[in-house]
Amino acid sequence: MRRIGLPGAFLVCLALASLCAPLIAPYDPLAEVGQALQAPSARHWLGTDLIGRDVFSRILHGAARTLSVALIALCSTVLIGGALGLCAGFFGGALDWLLLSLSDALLALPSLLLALSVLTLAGNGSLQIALAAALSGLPAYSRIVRATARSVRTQPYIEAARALGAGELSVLWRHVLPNALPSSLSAGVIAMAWAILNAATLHFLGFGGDPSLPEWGAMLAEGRLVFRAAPWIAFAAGAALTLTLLAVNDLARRLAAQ
Amino acid sequence: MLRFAVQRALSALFTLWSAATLAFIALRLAPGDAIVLQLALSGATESQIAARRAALGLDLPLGVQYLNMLSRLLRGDLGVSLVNGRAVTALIGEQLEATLALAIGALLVGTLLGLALGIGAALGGHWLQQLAQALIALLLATPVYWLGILAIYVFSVWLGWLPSISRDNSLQALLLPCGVLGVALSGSIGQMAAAGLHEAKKAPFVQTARAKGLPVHLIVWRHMLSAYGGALISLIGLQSGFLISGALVTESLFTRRGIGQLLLNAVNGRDYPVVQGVVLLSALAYSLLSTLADILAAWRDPRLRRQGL
Amino acid sequence: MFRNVLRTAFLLSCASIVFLVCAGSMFLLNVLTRPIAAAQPAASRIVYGLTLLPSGFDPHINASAELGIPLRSVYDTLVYRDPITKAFVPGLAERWEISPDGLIYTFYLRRGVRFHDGEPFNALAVAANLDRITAPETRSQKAIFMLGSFERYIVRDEYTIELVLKAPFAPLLDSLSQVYLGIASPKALREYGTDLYQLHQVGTGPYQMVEFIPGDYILLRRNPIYRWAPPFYRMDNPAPVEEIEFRFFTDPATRAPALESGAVDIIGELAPLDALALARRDDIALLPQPIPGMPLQFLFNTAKAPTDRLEVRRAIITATDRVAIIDSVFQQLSPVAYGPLTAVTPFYEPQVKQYYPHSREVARRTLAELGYMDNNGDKILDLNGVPLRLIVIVPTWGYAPQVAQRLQSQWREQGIEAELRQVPNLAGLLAAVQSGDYHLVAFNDFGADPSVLNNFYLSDARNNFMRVSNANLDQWLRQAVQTSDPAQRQNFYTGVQGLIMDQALILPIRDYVNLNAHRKRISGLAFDAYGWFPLLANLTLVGDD
Repeated sequence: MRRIGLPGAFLVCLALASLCAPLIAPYDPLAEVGQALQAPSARHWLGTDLIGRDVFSRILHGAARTLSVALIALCSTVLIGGALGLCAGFFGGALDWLLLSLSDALLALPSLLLALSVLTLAGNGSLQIALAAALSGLPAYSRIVRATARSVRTQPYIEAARALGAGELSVLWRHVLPNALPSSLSAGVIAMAWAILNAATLHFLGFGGDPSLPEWGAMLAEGRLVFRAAPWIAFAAGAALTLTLLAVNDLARRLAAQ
Repeated sequence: MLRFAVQRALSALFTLWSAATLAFIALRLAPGDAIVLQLALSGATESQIAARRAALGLDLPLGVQYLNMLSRLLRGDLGVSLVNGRAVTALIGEQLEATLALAIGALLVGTLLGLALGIGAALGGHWLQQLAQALIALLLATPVYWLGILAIYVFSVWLGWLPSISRDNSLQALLLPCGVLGVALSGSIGQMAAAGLHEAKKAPFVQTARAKGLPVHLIVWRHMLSAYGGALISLIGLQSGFLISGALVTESLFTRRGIGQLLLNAVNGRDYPVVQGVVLLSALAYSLLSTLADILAAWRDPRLRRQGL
Repeated sequence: MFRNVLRTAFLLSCASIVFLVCAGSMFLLNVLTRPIAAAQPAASRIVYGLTLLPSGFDPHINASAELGIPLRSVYDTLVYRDPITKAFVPGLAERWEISPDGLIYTFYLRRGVRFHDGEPFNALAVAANLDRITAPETRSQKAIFMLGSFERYIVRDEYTIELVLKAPFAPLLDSLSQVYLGIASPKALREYGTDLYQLHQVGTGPYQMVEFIPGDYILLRRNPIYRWAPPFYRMDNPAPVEEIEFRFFTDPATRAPALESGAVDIIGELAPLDALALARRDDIALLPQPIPGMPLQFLFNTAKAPTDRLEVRRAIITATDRVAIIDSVFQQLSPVAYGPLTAVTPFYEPQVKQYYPHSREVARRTLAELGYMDNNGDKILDLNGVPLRLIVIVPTWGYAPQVAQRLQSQWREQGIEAELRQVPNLAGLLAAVQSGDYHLVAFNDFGADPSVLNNFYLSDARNNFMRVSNANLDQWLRQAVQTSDPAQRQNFYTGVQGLIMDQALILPIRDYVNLNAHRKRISGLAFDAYGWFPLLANLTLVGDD
């Protein structure tokens, strides 16, 4: 517990809360349970939205959707982008050239167009939004990891390990990976934050299936439209997003420090 | 050096070609068609629509259309908009300056603020570190469109200091949009800077320098730059995608003209030549930036030149 | 090693400094070559907020309604519609005659009218405009279709022109009263060509286009020699507005703060909550403007079960509490819609109000009679094991998402499950409709002539999203377009509106109301017969607020 500290505890609680949302949320997140746009009160801790739904219940239910976007984005960028970047940076050669050209082409496209093409090919739903959001961070992420791997591989201790007869893969696994980890994790946090915000922006632009399903980014975009009359909606969603990212960020630092 | 230049030019061409091709595929696979969309509510008959599409060559097989597009591009002809009939070069040209001013201003704000936050988060005292970390997370979690609307309420409505309409490229008009976009940018720049500095702190040469008794701020300053210099250049390259979509939101918030709005309209209206033009511009900007980064890297380390970048 | 790293650090820091200096100096150069504070707008200049940013601004070519907001006052049309009575009144044509067979329209033109560039207005100018609109290379997206069965024109003399039709086309006068058929200077049309004319538009109207920077602004200046106004333009205006700057507020959240901070003087399409908040201020006035045409509505797909059954469609409408939706989503700022046309549209039939009053009990009973029961206890009704589940296509505009979410929660209490499928733009909507996999889709169009219905309800219409094929409907809609006798048209349209509601082809929600607000330094804001387009000539400056 001490290793993961407060941020870890927060994330565990959040994950539990999102899994048990149907049990612990005071109201049905889709039902009109009161008058529209009520300020926070004892009945509705975070007030109600334009439709008269309970904002707190929607935040709890939205955690699952937002966290799954974040997880999908994190896994796909860190695993795929990380592996590609690491290998390309370490081995160089044709693999490196291929990765560079591919990521160049993707990076050169405006991210809006990239996301649009994913949604076009894969359909317009929550999972597709998560994929589209993750994909737009993938090339940048793999470039960062590649750069780190490239700089690590010329370090003296790598040469020393080679001189001692270690195989390429073992050098990659034992020496390059651990040294590239801190900056990769930290870039991974950025990739995750981007994915959440990208997904929110896509919701904001009107993609993403059912508008009634709770999702933090969408709530932020929606709350902004009624900001004058009901600032609590946007603030609640914004605070949830910030706290989560803060926790993930801190956790990544702690993991990297070990 | 010549070999290096040729290599870079070839790879830039390759980037341009692949971006244009990706954009072609993405747009043509997307549902809808410029002409059908334009005439959806007009009462035009099927045959009238078909005649218009034929006149523009939109009824040809996709492969033929693709080759036509490439041959036009090779001749330097970006074509005309399918919606308003104006030359794509003119449409982009009249929006370019506004976008450049916004992007450069935002990069300045984002770099300076991000750098400060990164230093604070990596090297400050305990409380400063916590505060800077929290700020970075806050900024990473804050989308431009939310930050922008808050800024408009605070600075234009309540305080009345700055106009919410950004009419031109004057300092007064640019302060809010560049500030908003820059602050949104500073979260990721700060995050990268902090990560780089954390690593630099552990590096053996820093320990050596410390042992030699060099003043801490000197070490920090040099190594901060060392850690940050590389990240800065690559980040600027990597942010070009974000800058366009961030600019899109910023432009619409402050009613500025710019490339972002042009792109969104063109994508929504399936105005293929205009989208193609903006994509080529974005690819060109990206290629230039990454070439610049590579030249700097090669200058730094001649070994890289021999290895071929 | 250490030296190496130091050198690297040094070079990199140099590089970043060089970059920052370059970027910074470009930026500063840009700043310094311009006046520090943008020139303060003249006292008699106002800023008008537009809400969409169309890609094209040529009224003969492009179709956006937004372009008419500034351009309605740049052009005059042959005829006008009175904003209140919607009757046709003289414009550039002093009077007109329609032949008994409805095939020849003769227009007697006003003399002494001049375009903003000094060119005289006459029958040849009208002819040049018709030539341009009908030329295939113009690729007109709206104007040419508004001419309907127009075949050719005959210039009788300098001030008389005849339009000859292939078949009677009753909406022609309505078309000729719209900005899309505004009369432009033939000289300017020749000079600038199809592509560039939109940046240099020249008409005869009360305001002339001074400058147009696409994506940025349009600047209009008052036409001092304007003497040929339609009757409803206020020509004794004591303090007309000299200059009007139009800017694009595409983000709805920015509209209210722009008005509050004084950055903009007039703006439309305010969010209902913002409009209410602004109306409470003493320096801002709210002007809700009803729009003729179709209401915010959901069209039923009659080709897909279960909405292929009339009784199901009726039950769904009955189950919908439209008043509650108006109360929450529209803050009571829109009237409830009952039929396929809004109450301010000519030929609107008030009898539609009798259809399907809200009653949860009636809806429940109707569905029960059809055999819908909750047999598996999931609170969703089902029939033969198939749950009553509706797929709703929801565009992002027109408050459709908010309305659809309320529908969803209202229907859920009734045991009807709704799956909302949001589409981001028109392309997405058309693709979703083409797939046929939907039960309801929100869509509408505007216009002061009920012939807007033809694009939707004719069995071979492109936008027949209901997939309806009704011989009576087809016949009445076609005949209503071919007769110019108002009494006969009223009969046909009464039948059409009754039939559409009787067959429950649509779920109407609210009559469209554009929520405009303006600062009180201006008075006299009013809109034309189409509801969207302001009569800029009637704006009066009251003084500083």
